[in-house]
Amino acid sequence: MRVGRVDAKDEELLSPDSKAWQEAPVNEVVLSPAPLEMQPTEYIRVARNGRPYGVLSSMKVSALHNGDSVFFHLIWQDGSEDGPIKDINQFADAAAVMFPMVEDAPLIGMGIKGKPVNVWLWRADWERPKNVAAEGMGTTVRRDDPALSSAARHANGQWDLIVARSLNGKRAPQGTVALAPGTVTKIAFAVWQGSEQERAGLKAFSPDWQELELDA
Amino acid sequence: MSERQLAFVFDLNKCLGCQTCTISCKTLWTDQPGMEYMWWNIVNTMPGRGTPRDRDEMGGGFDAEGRARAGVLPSAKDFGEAWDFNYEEVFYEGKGQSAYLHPRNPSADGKDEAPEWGPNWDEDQGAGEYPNSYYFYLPTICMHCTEPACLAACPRTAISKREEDGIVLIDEDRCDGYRFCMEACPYKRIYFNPDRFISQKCVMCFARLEEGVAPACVRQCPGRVRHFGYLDDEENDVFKLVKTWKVAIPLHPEFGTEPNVYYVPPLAPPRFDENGEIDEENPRIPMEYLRSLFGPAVDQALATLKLEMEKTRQGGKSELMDILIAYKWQNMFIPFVEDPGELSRPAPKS
Repeated sequence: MRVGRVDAKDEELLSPDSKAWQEAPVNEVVLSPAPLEMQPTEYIRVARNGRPYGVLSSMKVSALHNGDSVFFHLIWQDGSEDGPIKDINQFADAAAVMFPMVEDAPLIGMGIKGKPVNVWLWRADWERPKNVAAEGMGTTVRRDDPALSSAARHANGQWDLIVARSLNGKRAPQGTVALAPGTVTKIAFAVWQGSEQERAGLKAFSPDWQELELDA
Repeated sequence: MSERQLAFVFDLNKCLGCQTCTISCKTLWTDQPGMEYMWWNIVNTMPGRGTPRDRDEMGGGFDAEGRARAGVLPSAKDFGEAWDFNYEEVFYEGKGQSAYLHPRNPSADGKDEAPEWGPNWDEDQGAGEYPNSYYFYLPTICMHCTEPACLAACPRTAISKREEDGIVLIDEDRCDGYRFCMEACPYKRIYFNPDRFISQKCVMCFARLEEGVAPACVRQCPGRVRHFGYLDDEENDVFKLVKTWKVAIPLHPEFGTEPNVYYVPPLAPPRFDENGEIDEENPRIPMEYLRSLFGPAVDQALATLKLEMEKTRQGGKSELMDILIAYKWQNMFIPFVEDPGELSRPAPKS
């Protein structure tokens, strides 16, 4: 996946209908349910056996940067908009992009001890995305990240989400991923459908890292 | 399993359903925003649907082979939402005697509708036909299980069981509000705090225990229903009732979590037969119903209770009856006998 460089303001790139996005190449990302046998507890494996989750099979992703910040535009089908919950048995829609913090951090299991990954997690009931650090399942630590911002819209049965973050780790907390123009790294994606009570490892995800190449 | 285990015995023959335990817990632990609908301790009339509604049919726990069983995540409606009352109208709108105080359905968007459900909604309804109608009260809290299904279900290892006393606690900093614990708990004693986005439940008043004070629900019970102590302390009521006399038994042992709240099952008067004669052979509360709650051990527990009661009726002595009568209130929760009113307290946080 290529992150093209454009001459556009942050506001324009945070608007899903802007000209920059109309002209940006679209990548089809194949998704599949995070495997049942990979779910971290027996309870979850039993409870979701025969109760489908992560059925979303693909999403569209475009990526741009303007030299100051990088923007990922994610579009996926979701028949119901699940924002702030109105009852305690409801869950909000969510999406995430994930990066390896070291070259060979594993995607499956969200990293491993000593080989962390970094996630930008957007949830439909949050004002802004959070930064998540992980070194394996169950180890995630969420924190606020002033370098992250987002714009989201649900219309006609689909989410349009733009997640943005400053380049080179500017304004970002220590120890979080820093994307830089002219470099190559890897990226992965995940989506949670709140209406299906998807949360934690119950999600649709891209099971392989994709190469991410940022224009200089 | 922990090194030691603190346990409760609730004597259902003495519970009057007054909810003093419930209120003592509420005022101490669940009076903050997001906790309005929470009742970590609740007393339900049985037979009844329980709190949350139909909780015995919500799954969770483990099957006979020890495998996790799927469970339902209850809604706030199932638990019973915190009702709203028309205080403004009654006290400030000058309506005199024409307005009366009544609850409003919190989901009716401000409309003056009666609630459809609440905690202990079916209070004192019971079952059976006159003159053989019957009911009893069943208090429930987190059972601080030996094999906690909540702990096993949590993908974040946010739940732990303390080695020194077996208390099951949710780490509020680790909890991400996924609520698998609420699905997996077969007793449905975990609540979700939507304001803080974490799950919360009875903490066995651990902060009191560490000062030698019994849990609030235990100490406040006016009916001397609640015995409390270490399950391996042979001098303690709990040990004697559970291990020696075997009259205190777990609720729904088939859920497979080995709960640490034990119940002295309810005795009931005999039935009247069709001629209006007393039928000593058949208890008012059907044994089948009691077995469905407490398992097969309930038969022997009730037989022991009857035998010992008969002994005292004949003028004899019964250690069991003495324990259950609880002549000396503080003996019910040895060694947690400190009076909280006499402890020195740290200054309140400013």
